[in-house]
Amino acid sequence: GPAQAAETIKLVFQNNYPTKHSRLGVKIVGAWLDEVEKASKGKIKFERHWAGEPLPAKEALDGLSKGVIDGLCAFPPYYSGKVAIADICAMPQNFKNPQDVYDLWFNGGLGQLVDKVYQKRAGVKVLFPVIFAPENFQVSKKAKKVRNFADFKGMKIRAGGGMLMATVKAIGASPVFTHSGEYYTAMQRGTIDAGLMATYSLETYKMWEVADQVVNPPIMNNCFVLVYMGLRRWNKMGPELQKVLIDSAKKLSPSWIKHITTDDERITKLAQEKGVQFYVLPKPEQKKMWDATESVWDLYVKTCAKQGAEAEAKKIRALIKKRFLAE
Amino acid sequence: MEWYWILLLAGLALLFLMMLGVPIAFSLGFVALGMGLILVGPRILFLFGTLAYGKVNSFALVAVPLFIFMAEIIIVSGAAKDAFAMLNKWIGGLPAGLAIASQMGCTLFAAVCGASTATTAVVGGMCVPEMLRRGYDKKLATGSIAAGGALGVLIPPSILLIIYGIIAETSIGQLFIAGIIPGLLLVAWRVAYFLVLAVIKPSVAPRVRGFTWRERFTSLWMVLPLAGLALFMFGALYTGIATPSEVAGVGALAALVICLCYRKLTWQVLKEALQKTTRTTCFILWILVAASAFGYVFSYLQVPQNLVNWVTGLGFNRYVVIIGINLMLFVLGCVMDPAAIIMVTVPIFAPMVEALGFDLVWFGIMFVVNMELAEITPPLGLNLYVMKAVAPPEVSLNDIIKGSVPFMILDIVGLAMVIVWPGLVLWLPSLMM
Amino acid sequence: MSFQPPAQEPQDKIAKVGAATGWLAGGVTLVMMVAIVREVVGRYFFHSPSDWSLELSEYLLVALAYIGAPYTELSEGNIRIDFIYDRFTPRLRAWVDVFIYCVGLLWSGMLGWQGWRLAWESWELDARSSEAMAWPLFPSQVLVPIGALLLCLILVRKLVRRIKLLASSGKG
Ligand code: NA
Ligand code: NA
Repeated sequence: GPAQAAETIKLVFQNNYPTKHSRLGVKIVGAWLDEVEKASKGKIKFERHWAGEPLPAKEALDGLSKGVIDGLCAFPPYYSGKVAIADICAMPQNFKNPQDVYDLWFNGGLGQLVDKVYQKRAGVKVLFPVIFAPENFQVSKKAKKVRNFADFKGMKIRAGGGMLMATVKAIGASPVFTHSGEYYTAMQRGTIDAGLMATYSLETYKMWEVADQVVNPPIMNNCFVLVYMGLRRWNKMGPELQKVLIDSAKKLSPSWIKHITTDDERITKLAQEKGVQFYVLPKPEQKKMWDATESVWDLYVKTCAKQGAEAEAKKIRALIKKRFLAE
Repeated sequence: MEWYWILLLAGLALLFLMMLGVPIAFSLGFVALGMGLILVGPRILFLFGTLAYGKVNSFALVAVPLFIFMAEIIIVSGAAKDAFAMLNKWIGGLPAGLAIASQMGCTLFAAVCGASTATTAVVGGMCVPEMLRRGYDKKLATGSIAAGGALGVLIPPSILLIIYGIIAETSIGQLFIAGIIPGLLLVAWRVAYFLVLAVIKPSVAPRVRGFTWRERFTSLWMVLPLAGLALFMFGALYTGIATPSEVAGVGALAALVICLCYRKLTWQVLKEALQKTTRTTCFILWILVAASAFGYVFSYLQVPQNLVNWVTGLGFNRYVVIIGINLMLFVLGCVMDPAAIIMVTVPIFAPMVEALGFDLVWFGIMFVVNMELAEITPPLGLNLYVMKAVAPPEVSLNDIIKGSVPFMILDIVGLAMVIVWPGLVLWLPSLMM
Repeated sequence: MSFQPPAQEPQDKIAKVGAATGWLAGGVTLVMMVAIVREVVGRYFFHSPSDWSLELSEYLLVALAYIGAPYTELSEGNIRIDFIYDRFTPRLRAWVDVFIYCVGLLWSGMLGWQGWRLAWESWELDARSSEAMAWPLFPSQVLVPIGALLLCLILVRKLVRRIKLLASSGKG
């Protein structure tokens, strides 16, 4: 009725990913939006914006804190120049398995640490992570294949900014910047030798047409995006609705993990049929890779220190390392 | 306020301001500002600050000033004039020879450039003055190249197809290949139109006779610099030395070398070329910022979303839906920038179209063929304004708009063919599988 | 009418400064060109792509768009539809001009104000770009309010001239 409608809070939610995105589209992020609307019994209603509008992706966090939008789903490295604390979402030696991400986040103190830094630096509340994939090296059909760690040396590898670039440098390769739309052609024509990308891009961008090797283990194990809310908006929600927002994610996270695991298995099988080799580095070579990328974690702590979050960064490093090394 | 009232009132306000003579960028920005303040409130204002910086701080757009600069340098070098003198001797005697040649120029340039504005600026800047000098009708010359410049986004590489591919999650490689035949089809229609026109109304495209074969052969060298530039850019792009966005930088350097060889590169010439680059780039980027502000305030108010839901809710036969989508895109194409239209509507269209059993590669190409039209439909048709900026001052915007009308009709015919025969789009990619 | 001969506006210092910013802003195109050629040549022939080429080019495009804005307005480069405008009487045209400049002032002033809010936040936090070089954002973002403000000044100058013209013709 009209009385109920008056209580409804309209939230403008921007997802930087399109509806059809196999990991961050309607099936996953959209499911959370639906769940919140349902669990809040109509008290929350989302106005949904997909694929990076109205705010430009890189400025979306600024717009969120100023209240142009109320909620945002985005890849944290876009904002690492401002808040680098969540760069762990795409770093070498991060999370052993997807369950670790949510376990550490909700029960291991990781969520509070990240959220605290974001509130202070950016004026936004971090709600929860959504894992989407491991990221591996995809090697172009035109390039020499990787057999051991030394083969990375001198390879031209596409990587985004920040820690991704540092990772590529750490293993002795040269990072190349191409915007995502040019990745396919750059691989096809041999402008670059390899790219650091999620497995599902083999299918969605048809990378299996131009790449014939994927290097395992994934150098970045379980990458995630974050879902944010404007801090002022969050504080006005009241404890009951705040709980709904978080609990809906907790409730759905097992199904998200299941979705990406089975989907990745399916894509891997398809890719193998198309002639893509999933090559596993021998154990001693893996160790060389992990040792080399230790410098990326040093850089992470250094960058966070410049942003006044050294203590939190060190705690997070210890937290994740303990899990990564555990067998 | 209901979405259709917003659509109607905003459209009318835009039309009024533009017709009064308010610059396009200011009109779009002012209406976006008014709509935002009245219907959303002050919280929307910060959006304009993020767009002013974020839309411009983009590597995909770096090619725009570089291509414009390249064209300016080629024009002052005299290489374009030479190439046209040569073409004139060879095909000036054929019906509408130069119009056909300039359409070929658009096609070739579109194969190295992914933006329609840059394609229009380069080919228009080089061809229009030469065509007018040889007595071509100014409406025909400018209209055909404004339409031809839109090939930049249909023939690969293409910024719009990249954006579409990312949003609809389709292979950008397949989209690129799929765009080739529809692009050539549009060119074929235009050539056919030129030939008919040259017979019915020879005065608009005068034929030049009386060149000897000796004159023709001795003029052959004159095309070398421009052909060399084209070959150089093709080579850099298709061997993988440079990416599509980088090829503009490489081309600009090559143009400077050509200008140097022609001994035309003076300080004064360089300064003027840079000023023209500033002026053309600035107005394009200011329109782009204002157009995204307008489009996103629209989207913020859920106008395009409601429009799409309304049409899909009518529950018609799937071909009726496709026609409905095209009509809607035509309307949006009059007031919104194609990139913004894709970002706002494809997330809604793509799942629906797929559910109706259509191929998403085909839909993407059909979408971009429709956007060919959007580039030349007033009030917001960026190619029209780019053409105005690069054409000689005696050409008015009115001439360009009137000159574009026949090409809008030809584009619609091309669009209809793409809808009726999906094979035109899907045949080439199917060979690659 | 879109490219009015500059003779209409006075050839004073502001016009000269405007012309200079025109080619200076355009000059960044040359820097972009060099950066991109360096990237392509380095990557293909020497296996050493640069860290900075892409980011520098993006920064420079912002400079071109905003530092070039006053020149674009001075040289009547902001494209508009003028076939109706051209049929107005000179007096009506002056009135319409007043309206046009006010619309321009509102939009450009708003971009300047909101652009400043974005830049100021980056300044306060020492926010960096999230790309390879991690350059400070402020120097790049502040070009938006600077360019918009310069454009406003040009518009105000044109506005004052039209109002004076209207006032004097009103008396006569
Ligand atoms: Na193209
Ligand atoms: Na249009």
